[in-house]
Amino acid sequence: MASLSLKNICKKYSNGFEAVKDFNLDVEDKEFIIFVGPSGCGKSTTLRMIAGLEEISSGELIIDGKVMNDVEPKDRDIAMVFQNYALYPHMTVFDNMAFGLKLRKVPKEEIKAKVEEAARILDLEKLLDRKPKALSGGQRQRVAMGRAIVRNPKVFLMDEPLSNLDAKLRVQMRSEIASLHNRLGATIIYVTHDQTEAMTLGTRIVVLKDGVIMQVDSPQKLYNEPNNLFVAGFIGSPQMNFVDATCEISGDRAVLHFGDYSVTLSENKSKKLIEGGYNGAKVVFGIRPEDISDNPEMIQKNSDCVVESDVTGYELLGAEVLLYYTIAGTNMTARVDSDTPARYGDHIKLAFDPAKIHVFDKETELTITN
Amino acid sequence: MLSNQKLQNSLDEIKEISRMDTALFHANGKLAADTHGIEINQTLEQVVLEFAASLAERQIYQDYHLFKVIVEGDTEYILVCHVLDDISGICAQMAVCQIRNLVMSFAEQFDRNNFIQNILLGNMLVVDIFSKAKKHHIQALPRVVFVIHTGNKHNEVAMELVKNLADIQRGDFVTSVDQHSVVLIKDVSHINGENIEEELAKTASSLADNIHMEAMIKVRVGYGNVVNQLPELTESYQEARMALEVGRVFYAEKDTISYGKLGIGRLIYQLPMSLCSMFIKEVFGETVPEILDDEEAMSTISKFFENNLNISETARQLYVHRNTLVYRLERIEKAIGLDIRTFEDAMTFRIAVLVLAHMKDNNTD
Repeated sequence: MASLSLKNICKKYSNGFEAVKDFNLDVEDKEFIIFVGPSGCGKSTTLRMIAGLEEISSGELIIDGKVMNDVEPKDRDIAMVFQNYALYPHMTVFDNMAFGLKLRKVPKEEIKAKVEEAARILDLEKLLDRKPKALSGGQRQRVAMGRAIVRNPKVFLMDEPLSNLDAKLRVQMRSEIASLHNRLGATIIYVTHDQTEAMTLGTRIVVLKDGVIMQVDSPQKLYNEPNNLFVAGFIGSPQMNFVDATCEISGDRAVLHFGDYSVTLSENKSKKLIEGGYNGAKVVFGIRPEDISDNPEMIQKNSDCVVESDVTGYELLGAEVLLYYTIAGTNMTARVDSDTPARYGDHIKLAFDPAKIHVFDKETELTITN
Repeated sequence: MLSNQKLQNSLDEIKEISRMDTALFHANGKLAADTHGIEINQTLEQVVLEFAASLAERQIYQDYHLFKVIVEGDTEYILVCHVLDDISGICAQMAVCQIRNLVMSFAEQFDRNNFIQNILLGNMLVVDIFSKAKKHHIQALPRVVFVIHTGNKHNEVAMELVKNLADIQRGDFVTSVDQHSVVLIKDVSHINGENIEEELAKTASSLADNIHMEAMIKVRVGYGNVVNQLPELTESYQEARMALEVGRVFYAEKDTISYGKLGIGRLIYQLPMSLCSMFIKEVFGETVPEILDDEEAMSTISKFFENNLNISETARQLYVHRNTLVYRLERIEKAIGLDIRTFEDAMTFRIAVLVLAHMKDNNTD
């Protein structure tokens, strides 16, 4: 396996479209890195540049200490798994997995050994003589993975490999990919637009927007300490609530005013706003739905951070309930316990957890405090 | 002509089964393939030449049996077998049969391939197409032409991959008319008319992804419209090529391009440069605004257009506040002199950007 380094990588197409801008990233050996972002953010383009399927307009791609910009894709010792994979319909599972090696003129004995080893890892040993038609969706996906594994590459690149599967199968394959990573001890770069997939699979996540890295961090840090408004909004489902607010400094505390309400920040959080000179400035107040509670104890405990509103929507998810309501003209969501008495149309009180409040600069959209 | 490698593979397989050594000569006496168990010398070559010129179909020379491989009345090859007993004699005759069938099947395939290539290139009269199609048992079915552009290299690998992905038995054809592309003619008679666009897009993506994945070759796939008659394949082929060409200019970031989805790009591609320059001057004046190179501005505009000029939805998808988006759009208006929040200006701007891409491509050429 291998380590990778992307230094100031840019991709500009002939029609002027700049898909990736100044991309810098170091990937450790055996790391499981996720590229995540909305469609068109440059994640697949970056992956293809690593594979050599897209030319790098500027910057350096280094694999195991060697600059690979001008190395042919087939000589980079990289394997890819794509979303729109298709198995060869007339070939058995064995032949499907062996085909790429045959094209590379690998000796028969070696092919046999590699395919059998990959089949063992993927639990496909009993299916080697079957044709794709006789396989389930999950088994087909495993064969597609097998075609990459037999190459024994330095790096695996996966471009939304689960997007074509139904929701149930996607969850199952997600855990299979995670365990495959552990068994192979492989360096994997995985592209997805699904933040749940990103959060559950990656050891580190790269959040991209408009071809620019927004943040590179562990799933937990991305969730708890987003760098900016975009990351805060992109990671987490339902997404973080945002309300435009005005900051007022009162002694050693910062108070955020929005509509008829005010929220007093903790001393630590206030310090950042005071030091940043935000007195009187427009900021964005952010709070995750799960950090809002309708529990009377919490309301009493956090009386500085309480709002009132009518419930405009109620969704029971089983263990929890999503409550929809409006504050200062902004639609908001709270994720509360399923035993909540609140129902559609009720006028309720809600408390924000003061330790979990995020504040963003309105102009730069960067985080002031998490 | 059938490659010596294919013949060599056949002889190797025959030896694996029968343990009999063989050598195959062209009718002119040149060695085509052998299993290295027969001593090839001048005497043997002379014997082969004389045998080829004779009327006999079979001849024995020392331990060797010589057989003619005759296809449609012509001697194509001479097979020399080291025959030790009756069983190896039978094996030798089966080997002759095997090679004859191989040659015949190749010739037939070669002929079919030529036929398809000539249709694609529009080199055949319609009346000839129908009569030849009958001879080759090729039916008129709804088909679509996919052109897989492979750049300057690796055509053979891509060809091999596409052949294995295609459903030849159903009525697909895989061929090539130049060194830079592979052509797949896909039978789509089994696809429901309502789903056809979706299925064609899936096929194109699948072709691109498989070649990327297996061969690690950068390819682009263009495809034409569905045609029902064989002579119309020329049109579908031309459309697929046009899709690739127009796609290269206007949708360079896309791997798959449908002729049916080229939209306004197809029209602009055919505009003369003088008209383009006049239009750009009319819209932007003498200098093209620098903001057109600003990625954030351009991606904001593109998202805004995708969402039918809906500010709230665009802001949501860009993960920015509505007011931030309004501020950006005002900045863009100042720079380009067009308020893209209005339909008229949005349309003018969209066309201007495409025209600029066309002009840029033309200058590069």
